[in-house]
Amino acid sequence: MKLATSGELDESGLIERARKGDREAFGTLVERYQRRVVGVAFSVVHNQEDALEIAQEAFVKAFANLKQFESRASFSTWLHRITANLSIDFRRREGRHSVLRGEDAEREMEKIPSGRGDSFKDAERGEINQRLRKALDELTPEHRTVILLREVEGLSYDEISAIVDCPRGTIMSRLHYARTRLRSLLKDLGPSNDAM
Amino acid sequence: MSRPAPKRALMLVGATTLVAIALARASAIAQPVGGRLITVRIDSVLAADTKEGTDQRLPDPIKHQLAGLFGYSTYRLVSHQEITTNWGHELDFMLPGGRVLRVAPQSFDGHMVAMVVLLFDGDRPVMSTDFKLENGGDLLLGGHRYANGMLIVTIGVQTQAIPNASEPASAPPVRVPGSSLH
Amino acid sequence: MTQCEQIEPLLTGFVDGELVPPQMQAVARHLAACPKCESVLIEFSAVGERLREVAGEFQLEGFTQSVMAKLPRPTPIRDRLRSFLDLFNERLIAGTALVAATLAIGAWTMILVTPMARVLMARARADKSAVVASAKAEVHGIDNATRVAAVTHRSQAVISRLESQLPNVAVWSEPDTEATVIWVPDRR
Repeated sequence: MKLATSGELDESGLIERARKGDREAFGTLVERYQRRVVGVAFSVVHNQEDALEIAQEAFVKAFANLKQFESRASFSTWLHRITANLSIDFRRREGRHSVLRGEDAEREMEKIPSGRGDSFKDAERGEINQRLRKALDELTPEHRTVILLREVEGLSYDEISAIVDCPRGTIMSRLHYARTRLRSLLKDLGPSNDAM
Repeated sequence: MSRPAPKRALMLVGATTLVAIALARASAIAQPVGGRLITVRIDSVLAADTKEGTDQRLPDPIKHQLAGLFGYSTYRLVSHQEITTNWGHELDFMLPGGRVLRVAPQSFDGHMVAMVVLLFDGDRPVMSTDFKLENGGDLLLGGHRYANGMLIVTIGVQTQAIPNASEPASAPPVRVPGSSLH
Repeated sequence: MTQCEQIEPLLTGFVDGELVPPQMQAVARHLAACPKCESVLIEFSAVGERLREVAGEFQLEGFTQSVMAKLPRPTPIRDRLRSFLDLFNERLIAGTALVAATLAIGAWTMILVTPMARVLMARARADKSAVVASAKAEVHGIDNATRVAAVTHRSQAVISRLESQLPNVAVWSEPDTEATVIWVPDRR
């Protein structure tokens, strides 16, 4: 499926200006990509505070290395690759398995927005989400990264493959494994009350 | 310090020319698709494993596209509908099995026809899509179980200029009679 | 191995629209007749919906300002001009030296090598016609399969937006026939 390319000319203009040191142009690029860059970082480190910090570092690094960016390549893939590399380095450096424990887990779960006024349904949804997060934490970082990049960030297999530097076939098998594990969990929890 | 008069005049002429060119180009882009009619063709094909072969009433390009698609041994034309109209109309096609396809041609860039298509199952739209189709091209829609197989719907478009038309035609949609075939 | 066991590993690629067209066809066809595999597909889609729900929103207020504050400050014009002029001086000296060396090497080359070059060029001209003849023979020898594989895949349709309430809608292109297929299964 091909997407419309109406914004591409605009973006290459912004990148050219940023490359020449135009900070305002780079600021526009930051606005445009911040959500996705934080999302890529979060899919690896699974902690919002760390993801925000890594994302900022990724943008600073991108600004410093804009002259090395080849304009015929995809800017977003290049940016996400920087982010993923920083995230993987962070995870290795910190030596964490990105499993939320104790206070961290409580804080993360408080961030779950309650979308409805029905307290019973809120509680039920909260419990399902809590157990889904736990199951997500129990996946290996490699499986968790690909499923979040695919399901939450909506990236294609080629994009994920470029970001995590892994063949497409491996991406698909990791996704399949992660979905199968999480599917079993949701089945155990019973049918959802939401209309699909 | 004022510029010499001839230079100012030259600059004014140059600027006016540029503005005129820009306006002419903008008006060319914004022009509606006047002077053209569009024909939307919807063929509903039953695909089944009954070894009856491919229906010869199907156009050759469609036969070529269906051949080998999903590996069925029968492709039978169940319904043929065709509407010719000018632009700006929403066309509803009743499909075998009860779904409704709404097709709204939007524009033509000289090569491809832009359209919006909605698929209704009962009152609810189950799919909505914007796409561009080559003039004379087809898009296939599949997945609906029908009779002893599956229904494949081909959406085809053809647009042509109206000879000696200076204004957009205001004719209502023309539906080709005898649309359901069994 | 049953057909379901063969199809099951492909369901992930199908739901993401990432299989090659023959695989998309095979899975779509199997799903039309297999409620069990279709329910697996629906459950996979449900996993995605739950994950998007759980992911929530990131707190991005002030993010851009934080990034901009961390970017290196632009150097004042006076300092930039000074460093440019210093660099220019260095490069001018280096450039002049390089040009002088190149001219010297060029002059010696002309004096020493030209006679030998004439001989080699004459030989090359004689060989060239033989190389071209053999290349033409190879081109004609390429078989149809290779030629087809080299053709760039295109489709008659370009889809810019597709929305559906159904969890298992799929889209793919058939390279051999340039057909685009939108798969909209029945609601269960």
